[in-house]
Amino acid sequence: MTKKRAYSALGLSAVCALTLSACATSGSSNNATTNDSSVSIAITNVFSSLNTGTSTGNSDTNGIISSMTNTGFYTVTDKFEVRHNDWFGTYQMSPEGEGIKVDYTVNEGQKWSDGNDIDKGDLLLAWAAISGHFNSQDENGVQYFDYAGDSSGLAAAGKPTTKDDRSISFTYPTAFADWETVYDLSKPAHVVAELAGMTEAELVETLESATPGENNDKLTKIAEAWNTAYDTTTKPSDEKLLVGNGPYLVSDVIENQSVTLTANPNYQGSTKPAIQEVVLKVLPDAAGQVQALQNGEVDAVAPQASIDTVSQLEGLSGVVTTPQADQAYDHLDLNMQEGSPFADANVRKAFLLTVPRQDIVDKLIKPMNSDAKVLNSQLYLVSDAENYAKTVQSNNSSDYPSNDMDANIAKAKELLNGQTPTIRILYNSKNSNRVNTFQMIKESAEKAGFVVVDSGSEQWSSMLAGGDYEASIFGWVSSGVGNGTLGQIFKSGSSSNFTSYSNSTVDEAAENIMRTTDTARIEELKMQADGELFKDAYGLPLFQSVAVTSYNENLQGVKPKPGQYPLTWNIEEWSYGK
Amino acid sequence: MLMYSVRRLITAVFILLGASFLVYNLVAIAGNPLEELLVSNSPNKEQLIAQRVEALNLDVPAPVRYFMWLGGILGCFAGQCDFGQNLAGTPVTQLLANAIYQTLTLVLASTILSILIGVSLGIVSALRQYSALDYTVTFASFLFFSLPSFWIAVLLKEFLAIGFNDFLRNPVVTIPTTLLISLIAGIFWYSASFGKQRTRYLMGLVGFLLTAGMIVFVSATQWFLTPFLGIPFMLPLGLGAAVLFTYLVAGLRNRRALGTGLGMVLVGLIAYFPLQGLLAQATLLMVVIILAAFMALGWVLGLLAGGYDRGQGARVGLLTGLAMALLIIADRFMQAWPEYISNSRIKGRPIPTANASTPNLQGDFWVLGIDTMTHILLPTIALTLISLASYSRFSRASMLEIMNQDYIRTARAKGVSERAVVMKHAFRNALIPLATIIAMDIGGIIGGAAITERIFAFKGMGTLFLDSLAHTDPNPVMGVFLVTGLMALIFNLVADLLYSALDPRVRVKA
Repeated sequence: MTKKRAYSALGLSAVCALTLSACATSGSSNNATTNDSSVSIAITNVFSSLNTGTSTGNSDTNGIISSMTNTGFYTVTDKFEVRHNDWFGTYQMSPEGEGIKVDYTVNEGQKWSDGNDIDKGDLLLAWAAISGHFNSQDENGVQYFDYAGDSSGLAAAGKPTTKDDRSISFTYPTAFADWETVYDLSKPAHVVAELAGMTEAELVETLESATPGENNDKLTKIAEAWNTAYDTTTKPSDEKLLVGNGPYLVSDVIENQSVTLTANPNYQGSTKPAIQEVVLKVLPDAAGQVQALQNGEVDAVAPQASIDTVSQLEGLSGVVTTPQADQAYDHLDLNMQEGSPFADANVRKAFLLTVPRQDIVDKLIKPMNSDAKVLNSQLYLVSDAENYAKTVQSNNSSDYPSNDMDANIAKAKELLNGQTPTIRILYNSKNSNRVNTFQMIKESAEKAGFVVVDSGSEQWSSMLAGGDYEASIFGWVSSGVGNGTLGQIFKSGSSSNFTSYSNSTVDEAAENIMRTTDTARIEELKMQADGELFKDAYGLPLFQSVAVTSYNENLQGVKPKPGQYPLTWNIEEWSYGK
Repeated sequence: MLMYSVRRLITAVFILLGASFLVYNLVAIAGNPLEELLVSNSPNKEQLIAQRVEALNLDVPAPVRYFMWLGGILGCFAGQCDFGQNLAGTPVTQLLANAIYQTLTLVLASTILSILIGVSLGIVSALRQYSALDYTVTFASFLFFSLPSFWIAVLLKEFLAIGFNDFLRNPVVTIPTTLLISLIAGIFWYSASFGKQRTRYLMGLVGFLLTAGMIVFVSATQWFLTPFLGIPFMLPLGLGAAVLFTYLVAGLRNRRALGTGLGMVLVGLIAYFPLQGLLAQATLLMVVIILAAFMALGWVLGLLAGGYDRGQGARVGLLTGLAMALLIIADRFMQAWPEYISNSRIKGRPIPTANASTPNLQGDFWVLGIDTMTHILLPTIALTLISLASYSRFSRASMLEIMNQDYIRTARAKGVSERAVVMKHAFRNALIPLATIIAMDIGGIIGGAAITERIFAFKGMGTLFLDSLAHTDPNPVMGVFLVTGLMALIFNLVADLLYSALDPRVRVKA
């Protein structure tokens, strides 16, 4: 009996041992590369597409990745200068008849990371995508490339000419201010052609021969490939999609968690990346980013700035924290439509005089950025350095000082002359900065005799265009380059002009500014419009928000930039300085 | 019962239809998907608005849009599922698959832990009702329950991740710190113990000495840098497990059961050495098989030991086998720990504050396993602490009710031992109402833990739901709703069926 038991126990153990050895790993891959030259950066949103040009792929994270993997004719620097990448190619503008001609030439020997030449096909594809040339004007007509950016500038140039295999020229019928930033390289044409099931020669032929607004099977395939084939949340199985010409290439993706980029061995730029590997880690929570930086999981962060976040970052040791004025700014606008008390310029002036701008900056922004100042221009930001200083001198903003509020209120009372207009102020009631701004304005304006009504709402964005309010507090974002915003915000009847503002000088400036390439003239027009805006008591710019970045002090070459891509815009210049 | 289930499933379909219609329209009016664009000053504002209107069919009223969405879902029956896409063009099915995976990684361990710990705490505090232990457990569980999860998360990150990683640079605890920690531990032991005042003082002292001893040992051996169990730890831990399981399952008087348990400890210790070679090339499957094999071996050993109640012996063997296998695996993980810490990707800071894994980490099963565990450590602790209260309170209440039943008194009057009264007559019956709660909670796991997920950067169901709702992006919200709604309905049914299966007084009427 006991023998039998012993045997069965023994048998069982033998079976166990056999099954176990059957499921061992075939061999351990233990080739951990020691990687001292790796930098990890926190990003807020998940990666969803390798093509940031499409309306679905147009997100900050995709943009960061695209800007690292694709380089072209120019780079916007931290000072918002357009830097031509001469190692890649050249482009210059020359007058031609009434308008201008811009010639782009790619340098000889410029290649994609897979060795394919950067040539005519790539230049044509970028033009087709950005200009929307082939899309039907009719709303229900055929639409090809789903481009998220502004097509209107390049579209005006019509069909380009190609002198040789590495150049493209656009002829604009009138002079065009933003000629420097409307066109750049997009995705590799040989890859898009392959995704569309054709050769690059066929793609070039299609783009050269297709008629805008007409159905064209081949063009549909090309556009379809450009629009959707690059959408992926994981590492694409098709290596072709990863082809680029930037300093880095995507080498691995963990869905919704991280994207790893490795230095592009075939990068032809003048500055070769010193850091071999960049890992972008998704960390949606600002406090989480701070703690991840503190724990060394990431080397650089650019979280949404708040008083807590900035003070926590400044409390960390071993990092360089830079709060600076962001490209976004808050402003107070007055609704001048008929029937509104603000149709009367004196009431507008009186109200604007009561806005305690210095106080608002001191209380809301100074705790984050001790250098913060009241913003005194509707069209320039502090990052425009010299031009900003110049415009402040001449734009009448000195009519609205905010150092001595008692004097302001006395002046406002005088202007009101006993009236007590009721002012409803619209703002985003979920945004604590706006709520505080409103409270401070209300308190001050009521001293002058205004009756201020709280019209704050979470649905403020839908109500903005309705005009059912007298004043609004919200924010604009300046792109830093380009001059389209003047017309977009201040021109009569424009879609972002919510205040029924109309001034023929400003309208003319908005028209003319786009039709000149003379930078001095552009600034002159802008400053002129800026002056008109203050003279008309359009409203008041309040303050620039704060952008904060923080990075490991061992990193060299980091130049935090306000606005988009605050860290990665010059990542090829980074290095570890130990 | 079959008819009953079928009927329940048919009603479930209608409930889902009605609820999804409601939710879809609620999402549609919850916000304005054009919000960010309406207030933009970009020169191509109109074009962007047109693109978004086109992508989300905003020109169609929401109730009609619902049926367009429903059409895609119903396509599943025709083999052509279309859950739609989110605003970034990613198919919702893919979003869901990834989110479910992330949520399960995050929530599964904490759910199991909080059920095990919560129920045991509840039972123990019920058995010692109104004792200091009871009050301590009640106080602690309510304290944790009422802490906001984001706050716990930040504290855990600060002390367990950043603090611990800093500590690892020089893992020596100073004498005053040792004394302080031991004193706190001693006070906790004192307040959690029960019985005569002298016993409680003694327990406090034991707690103090034990903690101090552990800290000194850990400091002296640099245990956190080179942790190990080895035979010196596995022997006492294994013996402890064998005795505990025998006591709970069979009673120490069942010598054969105790023998089985001790036998399994011996088997585990002997197997420890030959297994090392095999474990060097481990896969997840192998680890599972090892666990199963040890449990099977224990079961068979218990049966072979025979005796009056072989089943009890078998159960003791099974549980002890499991404990021994877990100890062996834990020991192997500890062997891989120094390699993990010194990895160039880890840089000596093993406990991360966020994300689900270290990108580009290379290593074998053990290193990657440690990586997953360090990443889920903090969220698991946070979630477990928060959900302890509900289980411990439920099981305490349920146990108290059972302990006052007539049949418990009868059993005691018959002279049944206290162990048998508690384990056989009371504990099993106390679990019946808990079964329904647990079944429904398991159904709810898929729903995710929105705040915890976000803070620890896990892109699970909760964040998917909240992020999409914030962007008024209806398709992912509906996807999450469908999955969680379906799980809720199914597990509701399972809970009902389970109840009737467990408690013969409850009948399911067809």
